[in-house]
Amino acid sequence: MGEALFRICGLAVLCLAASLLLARMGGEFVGLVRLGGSVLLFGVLIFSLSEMLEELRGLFAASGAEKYADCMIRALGLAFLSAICSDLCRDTGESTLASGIEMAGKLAIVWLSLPLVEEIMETAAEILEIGT
Amino acid sequence: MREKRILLVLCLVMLLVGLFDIGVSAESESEIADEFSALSEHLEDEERELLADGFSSGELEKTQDALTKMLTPTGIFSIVDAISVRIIRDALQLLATLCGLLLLAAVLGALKHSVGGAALSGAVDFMTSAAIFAAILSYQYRYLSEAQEMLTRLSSLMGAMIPIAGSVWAMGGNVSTASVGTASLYAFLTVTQRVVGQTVVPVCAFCMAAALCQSLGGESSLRGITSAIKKTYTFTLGFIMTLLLTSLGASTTLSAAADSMAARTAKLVSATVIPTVGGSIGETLRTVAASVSVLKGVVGIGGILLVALLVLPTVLSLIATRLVFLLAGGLAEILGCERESRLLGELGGVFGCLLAVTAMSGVMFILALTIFVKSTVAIA
Repeated sequence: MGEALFRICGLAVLCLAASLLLARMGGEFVGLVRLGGSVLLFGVLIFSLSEMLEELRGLFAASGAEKYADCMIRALGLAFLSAICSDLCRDTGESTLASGIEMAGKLAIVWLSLPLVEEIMETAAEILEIGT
Repeated sequence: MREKRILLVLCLVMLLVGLFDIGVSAESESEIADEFSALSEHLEDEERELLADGFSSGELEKTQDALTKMLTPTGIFSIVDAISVRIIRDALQLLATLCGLLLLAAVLGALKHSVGGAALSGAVDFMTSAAIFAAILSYQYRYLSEAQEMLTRLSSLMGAMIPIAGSVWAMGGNVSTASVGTASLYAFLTVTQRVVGQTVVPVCAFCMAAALCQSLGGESSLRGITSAIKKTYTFTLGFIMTLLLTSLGASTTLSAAADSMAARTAKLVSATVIPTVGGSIGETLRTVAASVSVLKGVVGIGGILLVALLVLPTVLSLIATRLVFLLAGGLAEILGCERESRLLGELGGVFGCLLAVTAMSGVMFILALTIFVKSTVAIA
């Protein structure tokens, strides 16, 4: 992860330099450079995190909470993805798109939590059956 | 003349027996020992294995030996040890699960601030709370159903125990004590079945639902309402149980005294009126009283042991789980997970209420059986 951080920082600095230079020269490809740089940067980050996520999965499997930990990590991933895309859209001035992406992200997280809510309802119904 | 005197004496004896009848039951010790041995079927297999050999043999001496063996300090500690091993293992498993979830919630809580936007942060918060509650609720269901099952088995055990106690009372000449005592014990049983058995789960379920709403909703605080409900519920049950126990103690004491007086009067009259053999009737009755005392001790102490074996695993399990929730709540507070800390604290409180109710039911029956053991044999 330490090496990946150097790569990510290096990539970010390169993209920044490229976008500043392009902004001085003309500014037509600045948005594309930003977009490409962001995609590369987060691609490296996700690739680096995969090992850590596997280790986390192993730890939670031992504690018996794998299913729930999986949901929570996916929700965070969806939130990050939505936040990054909406920030990119806002940087380029497309605030409506950004709002749409945030809404989609929120709905995706709620959709992900529906099985948990269903499990809660089923267990609650079983608990009520105990008393009758 | 002599025949007339004998006839007169016989008529007088019959009249006195009719007026001051010493109601000694014809049920034999072996029948009672057989009925007592069948009580262990109300226990689970794991609990039945903790009984010493000979407890369910149906023979009084073997049962007495088994009881003596089990009631030594070594015996008691070995029983508690056998029960505790499984409970501690389950509690540690639950603690590991909760700690893992809380650590993840803390990490997510720290990272969500970089997500940006209150809407997405709120959705992640909702997800975290739902995941933790779903994990905890499965354990809640397990312990609630265990407690409900324990109360059902306790009721059926006492339902089988009460007629045996009544028979032993009657065997010792405590006829009115038998009727009063069994009536009080049946009142206990009815309260346990109808009041405790049918209200404990709805009350705990309501408190858990309130904790969930507070956790997921975030703004409203229902803690005051749930605390008031729990306190009122446990106080009301405790008051009812105390009244019933006082009634049992007082009524059996008074009726035992009345039975004792009637028996002594009958012995005095028979010793005075019946020539030659009148005095030996008292000695015979003392011998019967001694054997009834032994039987009462075995049945009473054995019954207390059976109730304890039935109640102890559930009570220890609830204590361990409550401790786990309190520990996890403290850890959540340290990690900065305020919402999860409140949720775990509330759920720990629900377990406290459940623990109070189950322990109260067990203790009340144990005290009732102690009153049975301590009541004097009328014909002694």
